[in-house]
Amino acid sequence: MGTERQKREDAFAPIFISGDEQIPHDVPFHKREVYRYLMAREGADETTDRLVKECMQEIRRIARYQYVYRQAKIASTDSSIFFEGVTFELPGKDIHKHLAHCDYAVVMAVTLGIKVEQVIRYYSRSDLTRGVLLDACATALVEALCDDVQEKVRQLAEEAGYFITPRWSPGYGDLPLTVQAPLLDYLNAFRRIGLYLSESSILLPRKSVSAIIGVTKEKREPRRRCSRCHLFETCRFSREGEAGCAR
Amino acid sequence: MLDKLSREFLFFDGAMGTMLQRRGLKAGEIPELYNIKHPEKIRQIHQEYLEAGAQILTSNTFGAHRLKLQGTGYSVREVVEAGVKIAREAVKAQGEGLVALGIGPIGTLLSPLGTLPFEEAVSLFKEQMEAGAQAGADLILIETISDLYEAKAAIIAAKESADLPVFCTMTFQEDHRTFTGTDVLTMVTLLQSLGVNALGLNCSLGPAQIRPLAEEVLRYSSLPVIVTANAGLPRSGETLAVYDVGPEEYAEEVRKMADLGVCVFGGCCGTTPEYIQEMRRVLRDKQPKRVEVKRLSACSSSTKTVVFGEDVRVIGERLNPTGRKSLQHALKVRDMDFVVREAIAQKDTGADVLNINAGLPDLKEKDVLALMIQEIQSILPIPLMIDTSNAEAMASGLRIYNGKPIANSVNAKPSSMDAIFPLVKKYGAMVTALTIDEDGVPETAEKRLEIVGKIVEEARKYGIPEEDILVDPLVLTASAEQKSVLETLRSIPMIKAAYKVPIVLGTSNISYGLPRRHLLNNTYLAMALAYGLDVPITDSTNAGLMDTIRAFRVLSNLDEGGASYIESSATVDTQKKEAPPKEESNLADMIIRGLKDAAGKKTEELLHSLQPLEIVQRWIIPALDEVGEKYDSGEIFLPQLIQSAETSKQAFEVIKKVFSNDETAKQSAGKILLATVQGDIHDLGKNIVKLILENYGYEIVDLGRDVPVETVVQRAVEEDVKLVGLSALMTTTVFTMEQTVKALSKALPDTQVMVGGAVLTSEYAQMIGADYYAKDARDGVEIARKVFGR
Repeated sequence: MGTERQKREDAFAPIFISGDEQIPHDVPFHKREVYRYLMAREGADETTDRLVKECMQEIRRIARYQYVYRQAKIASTDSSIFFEGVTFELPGKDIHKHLAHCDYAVVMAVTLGIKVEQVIRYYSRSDLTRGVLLDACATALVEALCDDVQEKVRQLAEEAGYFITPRWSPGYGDLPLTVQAPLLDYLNAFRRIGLYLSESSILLPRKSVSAIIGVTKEKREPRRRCSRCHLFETCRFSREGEAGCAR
Repeated sequence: MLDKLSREFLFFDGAMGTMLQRRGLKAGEIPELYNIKHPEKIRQIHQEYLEAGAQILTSNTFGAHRLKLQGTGYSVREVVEAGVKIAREAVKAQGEGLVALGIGPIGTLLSPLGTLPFEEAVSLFKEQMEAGAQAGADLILIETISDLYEAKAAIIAAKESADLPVFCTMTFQEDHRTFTGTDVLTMVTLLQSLGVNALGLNCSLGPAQIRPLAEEVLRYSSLPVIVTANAGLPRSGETLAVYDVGPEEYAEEVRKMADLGVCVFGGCCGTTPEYIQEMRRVLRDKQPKRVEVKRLSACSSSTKTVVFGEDVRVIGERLNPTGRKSLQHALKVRDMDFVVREAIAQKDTGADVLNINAGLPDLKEKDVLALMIQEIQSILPIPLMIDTSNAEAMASGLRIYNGKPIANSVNAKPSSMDAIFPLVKKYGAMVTALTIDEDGVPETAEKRLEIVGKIVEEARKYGIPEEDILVDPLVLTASAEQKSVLETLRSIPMIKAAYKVPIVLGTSNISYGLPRRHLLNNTYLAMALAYGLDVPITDSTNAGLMDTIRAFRVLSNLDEGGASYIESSATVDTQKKEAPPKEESNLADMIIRGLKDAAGKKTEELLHSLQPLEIVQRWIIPALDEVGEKYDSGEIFLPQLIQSAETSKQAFEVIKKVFSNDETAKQSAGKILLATVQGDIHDLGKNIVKLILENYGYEIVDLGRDVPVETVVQRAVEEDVKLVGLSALMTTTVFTMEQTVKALSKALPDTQVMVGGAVLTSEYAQMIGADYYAKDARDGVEIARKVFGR
């Protein structure tokens, strides 16, 4: 398939892939990230450290790795951006900027499944410490799995001679959360991976992420600066000394 | 045609979406609007399916509900009517065929897992179904459902809006569970009890992957089974999703499933008229297998079924306020944490089902019972037995329950059966039947048997099978009715020989009024089990009783090789404990280090020599202050803060036991109401704030998450609180926070409101009219101190 794709110049072939996989051993699911979501310093005390390790294992055991991603060809005007053959548009300046110079986009969604949701709820009522730790572990894991999907996309793009941008999710910048609905619809995410959406545009199961990745011929600086983020003022996760965060 | 259901094969059509995409449906378009905008395309698809041999057309109304059609300019009625009309016309032109009103999932999760209230879901479905029935649909097909609770809402809506046959198919993953965790047995048990005419599987998998699932459905189902699989698994290809199984291969799988006993077929995603044509061809000269009636006594939650009769099952009795002061108080103040803790304790000690009762004078029984059901079901998979003599509370409890509950109870008095049986039938419940009639509790075993006969016969008139009846032949106390003790036991084998009903008994009633109750309770339980008791209703947290059951299971060959007996003996010795504290550790140290069990024990010890208040002032408060300072200075972080708070809570719990409720109230530093606003389900933050405020002596009224504006206001007025704390995590729910703040300030101008949540800032808090912004839980304490004074 790879060679076939390479022959077709300037085309990033249509893809619409879903999966339900074992969580790979090498996803970037690290204790450091869990601590970042806990707003805590790693290794501050032994008891917490032991609990964090336990919770990471538990989340790994109960989480699924269900994902779906689909290619889209970008059509844009000066003020709005949309995909070819679809009726919705992506409102806001930020996504316009993010996808500037992109020929294609890949829309993706990942979920850890309902079990994680249920276990966190159970502990948030019966053992709050564990509930909070499991919640942070699940956030770290779903982000790590997004990285994994993004890597799959990067490889596909690379085979076709393209580069990818970082992922951008509804709720970042001025891309409204309400765009979740048409994006999930585009992915047929309910049927493919069991993703529901609440009326307040909350993904359910909660430990799920949807995002848009740009696909471009231009190689771009992959890092983003915290200072450019709309959450800069209130963000508790910013990485000191490093550019960018999990977003 | 439906008369032939299960005697002849019946064929639905194939995919609508796939066919529409081929005709130019774009992503983002609402397919149901084609009923109005491009009716000719829909008609043509229907016609092609009929020509291929489909006997039942599914109207293009899958997602035509109010939420989805909002803002399109078309009403549910218009879209559904048009959809049914087109299918009707196609059938008319063909000369034969039926029209099924296609109903799909709403796309959002029901509360408490999500935020859509159950009744709202019922009403969304009803709008579709009433319109569809009036437009002339022959049956209702509820399909592609993943959430069992939603299936229940849809089936109830169908029964309430039309007198049409109802078919229901659900979607499973390869691990044999739906996305929300329902297993096959649980699905079949509930759908069958809710009175559908046929049930089965659709979508999600190809025919080869769905076959083992179909086999499992057939194992449990007494109804005709439907399978409409996808055309294999989706593959990438051009712009459409392509599926990897062709019509011949698909039909071959259909033939295999027909041999297993599936009798209704059709196609889901990726299928086309060719698939229908092929499956008709391979089944042309075949007859379906006879559907056997399976008789299983079972209740369920949404993810777990408990079967009675094969082995001893325990119903936990503790969630009954009669004679339990602590639970009475908890129910009065709606302290659902207490209820949930009791539920967890019973489940962890081996209860299979929990009895729940909210029968207290001056309590809105209906509301409290519904609240208990939702709270327990939101975190535990254990099935519930709903215990009330209030018919209205029973109806609302059975209705809102997710799964197949047990109604406790009915008796042989006509007034009781007239009230309870219709509810049991409608909501697909099991029921506990007490052997009482107009003459009261019978004296003999024979008379008990006779009463069971009366109840079983009356139930049958409603279509309730006897295996859905748990018979309680009633325990009378040995102190008052010594002679009748054996009569109750003697009736057990008699009843079981005559009817296929499991026997349930509240065995601990035996010992009222006598000393050393545990001895009588254990002995009686062992006797009753030997007589054939299937389901003791008892206190599973009582180790002696559970040991008796474990021993009985070994001696009656239920526990093969004594495996679970041996396992339970082992855990008694080697239970995992937290690291032991250093010997010189004092209570403050333990709190700082977060050693919960040790702190509880230490507090008990200290209570021998110190007054409760002394313990608080000398050990707990200084420890809390130290933890707080360390947190503020960045020396420790959130996890340790919470751990310490939970530890001191443990110490407080021990102290509270020696206080009466009045004294506890006197100690209160002030009453605060907390809620996560409507539409938001993120409540971890709120729970942390609650814990920390409790540590500082504040009394918390916790309304939970996704709390409607009106409920916050109403409860704030009822509880007369001076401070309300609201949390919201999403930009989309800050709006409901603002509405809640405004409604509060209108109703209670003197009550202060503090708000918190990740997207909030102090400016934002001010903008939406809140009095305070709490950046974290410690900040919440400072605000409370300002409002109530130190």
